[in-house]
Amino acid sequence: MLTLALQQLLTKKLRSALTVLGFGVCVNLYIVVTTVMRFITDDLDLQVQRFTGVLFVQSRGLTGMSGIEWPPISSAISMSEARQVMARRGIDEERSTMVSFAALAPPPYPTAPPEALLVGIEAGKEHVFLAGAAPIAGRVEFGEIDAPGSLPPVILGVLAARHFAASASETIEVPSPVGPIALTAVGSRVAIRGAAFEVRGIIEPETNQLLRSAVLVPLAEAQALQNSPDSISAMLLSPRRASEIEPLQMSIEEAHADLMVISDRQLAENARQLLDRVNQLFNVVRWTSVSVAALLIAIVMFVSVLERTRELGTLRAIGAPRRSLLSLILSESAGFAMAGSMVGVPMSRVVIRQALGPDAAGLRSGQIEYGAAGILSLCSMLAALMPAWRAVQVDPIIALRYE
Amino acid sequence: MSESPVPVPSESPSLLSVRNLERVYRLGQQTIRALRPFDLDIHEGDFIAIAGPSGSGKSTLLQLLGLVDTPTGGEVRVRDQPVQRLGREQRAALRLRSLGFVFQAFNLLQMLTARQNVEIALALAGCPRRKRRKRAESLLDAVGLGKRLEHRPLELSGGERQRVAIARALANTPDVILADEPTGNLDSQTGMEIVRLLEDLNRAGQTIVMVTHNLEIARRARRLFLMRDGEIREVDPNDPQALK
Repeated sequence: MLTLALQQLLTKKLRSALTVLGFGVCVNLYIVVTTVMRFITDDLDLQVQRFTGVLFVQSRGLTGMSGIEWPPISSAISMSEARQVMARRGIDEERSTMVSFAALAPPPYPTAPPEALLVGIEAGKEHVFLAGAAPIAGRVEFGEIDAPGSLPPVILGVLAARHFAASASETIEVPSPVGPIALTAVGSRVAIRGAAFEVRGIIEPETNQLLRSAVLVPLAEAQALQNSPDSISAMLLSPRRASEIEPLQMSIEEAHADLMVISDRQLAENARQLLDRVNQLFNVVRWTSVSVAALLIAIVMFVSVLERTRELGTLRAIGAPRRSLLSLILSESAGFAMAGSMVGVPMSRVVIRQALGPDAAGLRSGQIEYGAAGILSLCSMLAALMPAWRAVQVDPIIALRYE
Repeated sequence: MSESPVPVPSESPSLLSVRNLERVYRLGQQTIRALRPFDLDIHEGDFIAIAGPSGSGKSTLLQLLGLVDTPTGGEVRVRDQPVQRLGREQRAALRLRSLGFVFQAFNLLQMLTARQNVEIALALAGCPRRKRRKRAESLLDAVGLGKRLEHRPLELSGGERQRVAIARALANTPDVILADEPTGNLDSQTGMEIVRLLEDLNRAGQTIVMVTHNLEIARRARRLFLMRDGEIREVDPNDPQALK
């Protein structure tokens, strides 16, 4: 029966090729969406983890009323109010900072921060935002910022370093999953919104999407670039003692009704809600790909069974048991699924590399690939049961009819 | 039932027998008696021809003998075992073991070679791969197609296709070969070659039941049954008067 199934697939070359390709596209779609889902989930988890034990303060803007905007680009807190908050008792000044955010380039995919995100941090408090992230080149601190004749410093995430490479005075090439990529070199000059900066360091890529896209500059420089010297976007506040985090949150909210004070737990909850919404959409795409694959196999096998009614009748007439015809149709379906998976898996690797670029590092997962091939194949085999059942119902009398 | 004495090849027990076999079709209010009650015994070594015009019931009879249809009355027995109570799968198993089919339109699987077409019947019976390859080659050699093993049906002539079908029917050493108009799709010369092949097989001991509308071919059988309007009668194939 396997020979017969194989011969059938080889005989109808065009139909088989199109079916395999269609199934492969569905496998590819499932893998890509699942990989992106996992990437976003892991990345948001990493972002949240980096702010463990920190209170995050932003204004109650329109966005803030319905949820937490992350990063809070549209939030605005006046400097005077920010100073009042920073001066409160219980705040560890060394581990707290005012922050200013602004998008310099659009996000590479939904839910991601902008590809180049301007982050203004109080000089000397870079560690509060970077939370221990190491450099791959240079240093991850501003160093001296007022030396005469020197340019203001900037620390770049790897995506931002790639973004500014085109306009940088010097570049370096580093290996990546999509081949060598050019990054802005440490010591080179870059122009941010028309102002020149000197690159002091590049942050390691194994962090999270927020740090990969960060364009870290001193707060005053960021405010100047945004023409808003009297406002910031947010504050990162660390209590002196971990046990004081909740009282501190409550006291700030009481005193500043226009501010939203978010704990690490709320940030995690917000991230979970955001992920749930995104994953709902992704799941629709994933299950659509599964349904299309199953429907494709069912239709192709139905047509095949209808075309081969006489052949199936002959097999029944010469004594083929039902299970043989069932295995014939299911073998053909399995053949489509196997060949389709063999097309879809490599296709997905190319798509992920092209879509996520340097972010694709370490994203390929055998578990996702085998899982996708398995789920789509299983659903397609279940869908093929209908035409297979139709095949076993073929009356052997058909073989004896002559038209 | 028999009008004239016909030599029965042996006193052996019936391979296939029918008692009071009847087939009635109901189409709405209309009742069609495709086959009126009759008895028949098919013994080992028989070469039986069933002849008659279109619509006389020959195909219905073959379908009942071939266990692909169920009678509305009477019974079919294979080696004296009644088959009415058998389910579809048990009937299929019995067909696979005991009956070989030769069809008017050959009914070969187009995507398979001659050898694979024969092998498939052996594979269904659970014959191991190496053994079935050998047997298929030897059967095709026996029907004169030893050099056409790897040809697909479309690359064979009508006569050659029917030889492949006969080889397939012989694959599992059936008790009886049921041939439905085996020459119906062939020119007269090729048709006679196929009949001669069937005769050779019969002389070698193979039991054959052949349905045909061609009296010239039917007369070459050892036993001849004529059918008309669902009624069957046995006649002497050597009696020219009986055929009129």
